[in-house]
Amino acid sequence: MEINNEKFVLNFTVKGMLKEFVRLQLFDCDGTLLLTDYEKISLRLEKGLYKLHIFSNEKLEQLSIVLDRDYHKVWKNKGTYSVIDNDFLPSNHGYYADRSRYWSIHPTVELPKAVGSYYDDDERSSVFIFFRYPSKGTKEQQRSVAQSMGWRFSLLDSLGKLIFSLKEGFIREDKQEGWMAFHAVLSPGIYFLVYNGNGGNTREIPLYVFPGWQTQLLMMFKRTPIFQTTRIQLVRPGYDGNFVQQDNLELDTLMRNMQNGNYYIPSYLIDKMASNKWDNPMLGIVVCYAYLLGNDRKWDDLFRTVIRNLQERILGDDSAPDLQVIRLLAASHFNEVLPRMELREPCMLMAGMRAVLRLSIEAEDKVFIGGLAEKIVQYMQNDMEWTSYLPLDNHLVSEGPDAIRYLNYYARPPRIDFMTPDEMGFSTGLEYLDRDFGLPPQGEKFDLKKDWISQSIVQQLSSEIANQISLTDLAYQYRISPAMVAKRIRQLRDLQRSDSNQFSAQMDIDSNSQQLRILGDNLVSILKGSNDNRRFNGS
Amino acid sequence: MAEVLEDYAVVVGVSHYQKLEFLKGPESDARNFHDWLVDDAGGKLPEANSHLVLSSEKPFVPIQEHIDEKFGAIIERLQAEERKGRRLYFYFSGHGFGLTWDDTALALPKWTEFWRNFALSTSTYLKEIIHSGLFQEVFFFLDCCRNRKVGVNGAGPSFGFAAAADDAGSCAAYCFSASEFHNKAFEAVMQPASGSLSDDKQTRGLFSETLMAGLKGAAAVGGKITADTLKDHIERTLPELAQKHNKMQNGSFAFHGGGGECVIVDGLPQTDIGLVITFSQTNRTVVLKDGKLNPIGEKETSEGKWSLKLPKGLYIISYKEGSVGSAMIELDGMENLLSFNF
Repeated sequence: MEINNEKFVLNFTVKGMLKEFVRLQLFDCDGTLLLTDYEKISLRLEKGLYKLHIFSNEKLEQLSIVLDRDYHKVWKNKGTYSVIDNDFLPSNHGYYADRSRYWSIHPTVELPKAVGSYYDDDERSSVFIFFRYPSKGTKEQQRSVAQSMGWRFSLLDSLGKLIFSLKEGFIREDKQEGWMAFHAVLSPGIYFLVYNGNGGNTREIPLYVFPGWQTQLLMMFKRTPIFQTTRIQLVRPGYDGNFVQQDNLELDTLMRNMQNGNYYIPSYLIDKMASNKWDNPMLGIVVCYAYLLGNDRKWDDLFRTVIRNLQERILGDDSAPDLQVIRLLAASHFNEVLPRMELREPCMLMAGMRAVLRLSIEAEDKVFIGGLAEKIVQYMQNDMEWTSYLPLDNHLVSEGPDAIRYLNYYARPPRIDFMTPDEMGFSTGLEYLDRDFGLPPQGEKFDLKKDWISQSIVQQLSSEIANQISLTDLAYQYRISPAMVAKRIRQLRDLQRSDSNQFSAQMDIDSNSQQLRILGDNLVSILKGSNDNRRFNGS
Repeated sequence: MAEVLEDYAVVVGVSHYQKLEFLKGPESDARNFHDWLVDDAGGKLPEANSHLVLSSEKPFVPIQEHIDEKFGAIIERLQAEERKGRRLYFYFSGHGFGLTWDDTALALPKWTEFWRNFALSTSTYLKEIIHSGLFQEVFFFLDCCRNRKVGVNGAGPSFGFAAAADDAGSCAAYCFSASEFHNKAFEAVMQPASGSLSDDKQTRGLFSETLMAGLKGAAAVGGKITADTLKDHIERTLPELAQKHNKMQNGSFAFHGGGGECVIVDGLPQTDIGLVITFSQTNRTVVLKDGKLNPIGEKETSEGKWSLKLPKGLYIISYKEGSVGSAMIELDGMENLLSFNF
């Protein structure tokens, strides 16, 4: 066999949009993985055959390389499938882009005259929702679908009251082409897009509207909504979509990476943060999450400025749930004293919800989750990086006053500001512990038989070896806040004390069993232990 | 004379679920893995050392106790005989949920949105097995999804040890997962080509399919399959197999306390793979070169076809006259016969 030690240069470079996110794996002729890297490979290797895996936007491309001389290849990243109307994308077509741009500028809901005079166009904040089929061809295959794409969708205000059903009169739609647009001028604050589909196919997505910005939600359909294709962006009213194309693609990629636990931020995005160019501040929010969730400390000073600018100068609103959590994460990342806060409404990004849940466990005397944010935690869906969850029963409204409320809602926004526990009158954040231990009473009651958290607690605390388990242990295990665990433990303990027969029936435990005694003891000791340790009193 | 340590295994295939979608692959995947374990050309385990647990409905089993009993049988036997094992294999195929980057909840048949705790935590099982101090190496192969679901827990094992054994720290652990944290794993109907290592048309987990091909020799380098060569094999072939089924799936690997050079199987005979090249042109001469670009031979295309037996690897075929018109041929070991048209 001929001995062959000749070496050559192998240079492979990715060009084009999002090149920084293209992952490369190089294998030799025996199938040994030589290198994994992003964007570029530059090696000196022995003459021979090599195989390159190119991962771009959840697609694999394979390249065979014959290295018998120096090899230089520039590979163009061909882009990505996205719901956002970037013209070059293969899944997008001009007619969708044109329609979405037009209706993002023109409200589909007539603006009440009384409101119109109050605000200049460029100060208006609004919600724009655009649904479309992946392509005209896909829609043609679904000709039998006669319903409007807005059917079963509604938009609720911060109190969970219906403002609009997405139906004729409030939307624009082309059933032939397969798109639907909804655009309403709305006051800043949080709103909820609710889908009440058949067979329990329900979903709720929070949308936060910032002063002077349009919050856009874009989603694809294939007979029914494909929630995993949801994209949310923030743009200035009357924006030209071309300005934010690059931002959208970067946003898509960062989100997908975050979903994979990858918090890598390419250097040009760091530069972009420094230059304060904000066509779509959602990109800024996501970059902040990625940086603060990662371990990099190199850009701490820059991100202090970015976060301050984002909330003060750009979005003009520091009470949005995502911005609250970013401030909290920043304190944690910068090793500063955590601010005391209670998150009462859900973030738009799952990264925020996960972060606040983690911090509510790690800093249980500082970080609290209450209100709707607490209620939805157990119903959160994890199939996308935008927060979504199964709607609470009282959010599944099918009919309502529609736009009758519109004027009122615009003129007198029903916002709930996000306050710290101190501001809300909570002296200690102890509302989930009880008066037996010198603590305030609990108001909310759970259906113990149907509540998976309660059932899990019972299952776990019915064992004798569970007597060392703490509230925090359970919270970590269930990935919910200690408060959520404590409220249920207290209700279980109260029921056992007041009506042990009903308790044993609900928990499916023999009323005379040893298991019931152990459970009762553990319920008391876990509450007592929490109090003794003063873990929840803020001291 | 040094004691010859034996290997042990618990192999679980869960197809039946009370509420989750029925899976067609896990039973045959688990059987295949078990068969490889007890094969003299594979894991070489005595039959009694490999415990196979398969699911069924009415009632929905296994529950955790059924699986823990299998671990218990192995551990109690070793303790009673005051012996140690060399290696413990744990294989699971079924539904799963990602808990953290290094912990997966393996869903058992009774798992529902309500009964969220009917799942096993891989990290706590691994930790407890390491604490036993009974094994030098532990291999976990997990063919399941790792996307997250709030509030899903994996239960720790029912068995436990008062304290970690003194030599627990010397145990090396290798965890091969079917997907990256947050991502899904898939099963698909395998359409065996002629010579496919899959001898029947069946649904299989994509990860299990590549795993089994790897363990049967496709991951071998110089007759050895190591943790590293198996990892490289899965990294290379799993995304390619997934792509054939219009999916995207990448494996994930975590090695603790031991290097990737750990030998899983040694002394595998080099099995050459059949390659039949048919020619679309006539009156040309073709040259075949190996992965180091050393010529293997030449053939006149007028002969119609060229049958060869070659080791797995990359090859290139080209016309002798000029460099235009060449093609790479990959014998990746997933099949034992490849037909190629040039």
